[in-house]
Amino acid sequence: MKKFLISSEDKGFKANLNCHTNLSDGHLSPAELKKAYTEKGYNIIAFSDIDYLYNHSDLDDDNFLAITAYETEIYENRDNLPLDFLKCYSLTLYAKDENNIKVVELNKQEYSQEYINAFIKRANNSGFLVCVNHPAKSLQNYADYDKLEGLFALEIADYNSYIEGHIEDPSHVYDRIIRYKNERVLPLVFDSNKNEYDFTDARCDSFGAWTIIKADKLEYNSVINALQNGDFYVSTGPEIKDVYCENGKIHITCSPVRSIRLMSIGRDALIETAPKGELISEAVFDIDPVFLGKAVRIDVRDDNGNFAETPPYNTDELI
Amino acid sequence: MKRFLISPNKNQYKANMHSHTTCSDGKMTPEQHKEAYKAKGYSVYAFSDHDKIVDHSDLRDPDFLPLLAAELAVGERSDRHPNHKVCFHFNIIPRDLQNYEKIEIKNFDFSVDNINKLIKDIKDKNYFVVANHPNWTLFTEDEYAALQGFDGFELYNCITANFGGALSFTHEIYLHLLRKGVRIYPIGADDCHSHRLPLSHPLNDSFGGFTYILADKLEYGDIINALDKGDCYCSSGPQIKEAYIDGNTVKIKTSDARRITILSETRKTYCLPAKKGETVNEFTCEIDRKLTGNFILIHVEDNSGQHAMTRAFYKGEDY
Repeated sequence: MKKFLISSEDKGFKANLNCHTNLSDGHLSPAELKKAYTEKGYNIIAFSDIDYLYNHSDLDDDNFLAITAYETEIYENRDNLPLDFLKCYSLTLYAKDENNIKVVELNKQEYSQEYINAFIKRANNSGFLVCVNHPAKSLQNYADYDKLEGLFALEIADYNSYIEGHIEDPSHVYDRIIRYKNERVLPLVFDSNKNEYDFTDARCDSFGAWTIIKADKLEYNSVINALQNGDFYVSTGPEIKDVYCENGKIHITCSPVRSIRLMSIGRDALIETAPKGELISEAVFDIDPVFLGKAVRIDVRDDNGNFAETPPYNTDELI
Repeated sequence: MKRFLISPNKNQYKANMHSHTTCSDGKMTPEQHKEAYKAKGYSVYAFSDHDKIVDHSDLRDPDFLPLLAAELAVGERSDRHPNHKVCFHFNIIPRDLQNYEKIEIKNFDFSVDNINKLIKDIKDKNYFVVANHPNWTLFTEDEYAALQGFDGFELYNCITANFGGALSFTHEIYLHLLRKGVRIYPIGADDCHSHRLPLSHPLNDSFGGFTYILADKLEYGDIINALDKGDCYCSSGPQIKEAYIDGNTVKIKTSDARRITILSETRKTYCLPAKKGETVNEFTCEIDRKLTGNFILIHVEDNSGQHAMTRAFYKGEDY
């Protein structure tokens, strides 16, 4: 019997899960952003202004849902250096209840994993899911995350960072989190858009990275549940259609791509690559837990260097 | 005063710095390697078979320079599946074509300390040492930062890009090392074994990663001098034709690019992105030396998602 992880029969809602408006350091209003994004086929925006939490459900309609969220940052304290020199924890917090608009207490002088751990715990207890943003832009590596617990997600591609010239993909930090941590941390990608430039400008930081959320309905609880359960995939281009397991094999179909990769926690992946001049849309791999290790995820890449990726799945649960 | 970072007055010799022939576990003869790679515009070729240096001077011609090389390997001894064992592989290249001592590794107790002693011993015997396929080793960034003494860093390795569980452009480790003060130069290579697949097959591990070495003449001594100074850059596609700094103005000319970026020791970046579907070839900008820290480097990405990256250029030395 087929066990579906992602099904093309389930509706997918396209989401930008980090967005800055003119309520903080963005340049467009929430209403303007809703208009621009829905015109591009999006259904969900997490309005995540810096240290400002607001319920934008007044923008909700049959085809659009606003997620209550905010972004916050803690920088290292080091010798009065400019911010560009300092590592930081940049976090996006998603409210599980859309009416939860109380930010979590945070002392911005306390840069340490210990303090961040306590903060994540407080945030979780206060009803928030916590995602760490753009490790490369934050000048961080795995050693900054190895003791963190209770994380919902780590961002593995950020479009604003991309436009600024940073390189988040491939995320070797995320590789190590999957390899070394015992709890499941999910991958997210988003725009972190500020819209300093017009939508036609090459420096526009919108529409570059999105999440396709497989929720039952476009309602707040349903979407949050889907996120928590990992019922989504992330993309900067390709579409993942079906992922299912049957008889010890995993089947993947997607939009036409250059490569489909079943990533292990080890050094090698299982990979199907298209012949020169062609593209592929499906692959089948044997599930070998000894080779693959405790978790796998699927990465598909097109000819433009764009990718789509699934959350990690426990290998034992796939057989 | 104009200081060249990538000089247009030098020749850019295309090099494969890592290969395996029938002298070890490769499937093609050295002659077949030369024929195939010369046809693709390569001029410099490191024949780096496992555990032994084989002199291929007989393949030398005015347009093709073989480099003496070998790949050495050490690794954890355990019952773990090979896909999960930690290891360290590195290439050694004698600086003196006529005079080099044989290197053998016996009874190696695997640890970072012992690797450091081994590398020091090899360097004292007048070798250029390159850390191979960093992600494939399964070391963390901090374990890499504890290694001392190697000269080159395989920023791109084609065979692990084709099969890799973590994807092969190891920019995160490279930048982490540079920011820790480690001086290393970026190497691109195929690590080709030619796995019984024709060269046209997408999984054939050839022509994917290369190093452009900037030198006046195609002579062994000139190429080694260039490597020793870091007059080289790694690429899996783009070419950097020229780059200079004049006061605070940086000018870069490249092949068709999706984005051209100046990265730095800090998070300060300068980036010229192209509009979607278009390309850029030239980038001029003013940098703020107070915000870029002790070094800058150049990164180019093309519309296929392939990368080129230079070494770090140091304030007070290179500009």
